[in-house]
Amino acid sequence: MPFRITFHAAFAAAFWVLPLGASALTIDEARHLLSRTGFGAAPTEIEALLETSREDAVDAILARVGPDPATPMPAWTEGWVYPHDLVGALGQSAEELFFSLRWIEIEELQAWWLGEMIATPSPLTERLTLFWHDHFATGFDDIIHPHWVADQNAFFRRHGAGNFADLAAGILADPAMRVYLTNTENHRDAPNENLAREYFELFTLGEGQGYTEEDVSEAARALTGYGVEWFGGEGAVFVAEAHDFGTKTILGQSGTYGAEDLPTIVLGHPAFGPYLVEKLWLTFVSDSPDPGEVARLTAVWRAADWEIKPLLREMFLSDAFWSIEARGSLVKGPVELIVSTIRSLGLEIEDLGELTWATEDLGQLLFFPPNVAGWPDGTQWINEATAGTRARVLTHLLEEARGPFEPPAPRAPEEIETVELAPADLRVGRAFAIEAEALEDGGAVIFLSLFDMGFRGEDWRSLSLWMEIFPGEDFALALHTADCAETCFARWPATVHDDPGWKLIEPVNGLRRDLSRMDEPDRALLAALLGHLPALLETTADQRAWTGLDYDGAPIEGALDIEEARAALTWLQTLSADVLGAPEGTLVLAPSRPGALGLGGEAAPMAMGEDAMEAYLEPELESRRRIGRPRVTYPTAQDWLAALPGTDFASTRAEAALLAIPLPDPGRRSEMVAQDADALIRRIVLSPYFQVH
Amino acid sequence: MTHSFTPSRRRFLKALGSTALALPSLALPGFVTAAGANPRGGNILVLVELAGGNDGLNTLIHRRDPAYRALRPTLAIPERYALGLDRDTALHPAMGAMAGLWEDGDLQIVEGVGYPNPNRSHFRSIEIWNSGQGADGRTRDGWVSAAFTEGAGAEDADGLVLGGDFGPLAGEGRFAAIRDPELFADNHGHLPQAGHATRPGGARASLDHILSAYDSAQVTGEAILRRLERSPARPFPFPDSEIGRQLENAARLLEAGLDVSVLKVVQDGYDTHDGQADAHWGLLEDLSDALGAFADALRQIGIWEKVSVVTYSEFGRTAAENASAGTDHGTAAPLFIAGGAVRGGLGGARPSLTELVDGEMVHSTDYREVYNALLSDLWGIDPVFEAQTERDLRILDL
Repeated sequence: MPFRITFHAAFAAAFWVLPLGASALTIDEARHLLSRTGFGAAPTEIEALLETSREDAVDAILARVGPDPATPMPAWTEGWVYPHDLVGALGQSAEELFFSLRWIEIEELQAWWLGEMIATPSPLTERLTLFWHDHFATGFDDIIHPHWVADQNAFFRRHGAGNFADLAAGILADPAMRVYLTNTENHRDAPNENLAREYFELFTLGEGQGYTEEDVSEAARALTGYGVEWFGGEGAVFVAEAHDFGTKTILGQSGTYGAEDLPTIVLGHPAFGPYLVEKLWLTFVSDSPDPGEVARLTAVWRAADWEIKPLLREMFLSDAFWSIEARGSLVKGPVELIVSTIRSLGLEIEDLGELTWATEDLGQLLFFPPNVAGWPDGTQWINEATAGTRARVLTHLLEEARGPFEPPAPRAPEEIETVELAPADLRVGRAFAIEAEALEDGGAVIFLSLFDMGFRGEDWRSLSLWMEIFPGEDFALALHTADCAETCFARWPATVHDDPGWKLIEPVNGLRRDLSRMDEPDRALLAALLGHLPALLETTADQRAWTGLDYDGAPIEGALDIEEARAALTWLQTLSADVLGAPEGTLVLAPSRPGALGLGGEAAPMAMGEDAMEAYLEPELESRRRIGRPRVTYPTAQDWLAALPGTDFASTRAEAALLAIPLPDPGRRSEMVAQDADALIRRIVLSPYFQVH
Repeated sequence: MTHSFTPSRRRFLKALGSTALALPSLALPGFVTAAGANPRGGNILVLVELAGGNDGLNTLIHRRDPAYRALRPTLAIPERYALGLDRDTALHPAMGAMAGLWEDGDLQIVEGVGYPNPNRSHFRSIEIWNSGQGADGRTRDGWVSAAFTEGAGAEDADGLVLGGDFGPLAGEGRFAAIRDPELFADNHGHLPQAGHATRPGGARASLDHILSAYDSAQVTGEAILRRLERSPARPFPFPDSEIGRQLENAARLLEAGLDVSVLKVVQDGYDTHDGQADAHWGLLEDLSDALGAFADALRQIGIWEKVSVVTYSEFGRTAAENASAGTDHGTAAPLFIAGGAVRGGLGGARPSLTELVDGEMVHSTDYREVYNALLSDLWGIDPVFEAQTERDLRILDL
């Protein structure tokens, strides 16, 4: 349960005692440390540090950094990756609905993250996660799964203060990054340098620091073949056929390198270090890195074997960090500005989705950096244009963000009918007809994907069957098993383009001859799949593949009609019964879990116009509304003012808590405004001085 | 896949009670109303950033050069479709409106523009173009703000960004952005009163920058809103696209009599690594139509003679096409300058397609020569940047 604290001015004044000992932090120092390592400084946070030394305060802040968010990520991030590439089979309405829901999920993830920044007891965790998101900038778009975006965020949480080697390795294995920087198109026959170039220029060494164009091309060769699994849920995949196994020379070292070798090579290079230390300095210390200090901190970092936490500790305890010159030298980025205002003042947000919109308006929409170089920084954030936008957003916060607000009532979880399954029953959540083509000589190509399926007590995300059938004569079957790799056809050799995701079974006489090599459970699964093919086909009867039209509504030349498909699959079924025996169980059409398809439940009608879709999505949005609430909130500005530590006048205490550089007020007693707490806070927050910390 | 559904934005606007050009009444500080006539003579530069790296070789076509067709086996524009400008030169077939400007003598094409030691990174190369400091320059300030250091500029603003980042307009000076006119008015109403002339002792560079930005935002915003308020909007037809809307806003501001020296717009999407033909066609058609519409609007307003529109891009693309029917990051490219007083024709020099260095074209004309020529011809500013070529560019028919 969140709690609310109300201090009375008299009580706060009497309660507060002078710091003991020279090493104890002052109010200014406490605000500085909190604001730089987190988002602003709330009265209670300042108060808690006043009897602490710099070392203890820094150690406590670093100790709280951890991988687990205070608010769990949205429930869908735990589920299967949706059938992104399959859903088009259901037709245009379903596809539009599907992708609208993906955007709603990204909006939900943005709102969740802003909420986490507001609520977390470890704001440094969020500052670091944001730092790495900016550093390894990856933008969401239609071809990236929201799950991958959430996974990348969790990855930054896990390693944000860990070892840079893990970040440098993990980002190359990150499916969203591979897609964003088109490493999915990095093939040995035509290397794509995108990821390799940014790896040196933006992620590790810094532009022009110790590497050449030649190193970029060689590193690109090392990165060939590291793509993503479009049909499976795994994400990252290595396609041996696309990889260049030859010798590469990268940064003076030669070997048959692959992606896993790059971090070691780069981190071992003498030029590595200063670029990142300087970037951290510009984020946490000041706007003017001291070359001597950067060199010293780089040495400390290298000695710590690139562990980030010791580097941060050294940085936070450096004289430069605490120097008066550094105070107020950093410009607050948009997310920082908004979150720190909310946390410092103990405000509440009724709908974090609206806050997301405000961050966009200020130029920092989470998960949508402008490009791989990340967001602007420093004074680049402020110009004539953003000055006005910042003022409007801050005004809005001050006027609207006093709670208490209640989150929407949780929706009843989608009911899933429990189905009694016999072990031999084949359960399928949904079958997709991806492709159907008539070949010459009476042949047929049929591509079916089964999503959310189960057999003999195992549940699998998907299994796809690509079939080329000449009824009565011959066939070839390729099974895409990426989602059940451990538990289905695991010992069957991969034969399609050396892609481990695909397993090939062919031809008729091969079926008879080779099946002696197939394990019994796989034989049973194959018998069930082939035995139920005609029935599975019927469940796809209303899908796009059987309309004879392509995705753009144009007639397909050589389209296969469903009768031809039925005939082909029936022949295969008969053949299978003859060789493998009939399926032992029945076909059960039932999902295993709610929402696995990502289509918002079976209730959603598939043929809907734009208005109907908006009407359908509106309650969907409302149910996902999240409120933003710091650990301590204040119902009124007066309550906040009263909670401030210190014995100074209210206006002076308010400035000390909110500003690194006090407002110049020649000849006028600002105490006059303190009679009106709202006016006092507005005056400070809307002043240009509030833009720095 | 179409999904323009962004309900949260709509709801937030509703929550804000989106104020359409509601004018706050704030007094103009004295120093603005006292500003004198524009010493730069009222010429206006419109910068059009083609973001992503435009393929110059398929924009301005070397129609009779066999090397062009050899480098572009699938992407070369067939001779029968190209819009011929002269025996050796043609425009991409989608650029009919710009071909019209050429016919009118209002279009100059400067060929082979680039810089020594070309950088192939989008971010770094556009920084180099923005700053005018060459491949080794490290400043983040834009070339326009660097050149406008002396004396007062136009009355209302030195420059306005209507799309994209500040780029050449980054840095000190009176540079504002109006990416959305409604929000611009709303924002303006929330700014604290100007008057941060008093600076705290030992002010930090960051704070100093912010104080200046806040003050000039107040002053510029006030001036722009007053002009717009006094001038009824005339509807000019523009393409319904990103670049179309920005140039429409530009025409609207100029019609309202805004006294500004530089406007900046952006058209994104030129990073055509694969399947270039269709995408590039769409981009050039949009660009050409929008520029044609802009010229028409300014002719009606009566200021086309005062305006020079200049395109630029971070780099051209590779001379040879790649295996994905696209092109990768390259070097030199042509640059287009259009305007009523612009001296029509070809400028610079055509880069050779047979004497490539590392497979790429070598620039004939240092981009800083173009900057210097623009500054000199439009506003009589002496050369600011050190160019390493001498092509004797002349932008205007003076």
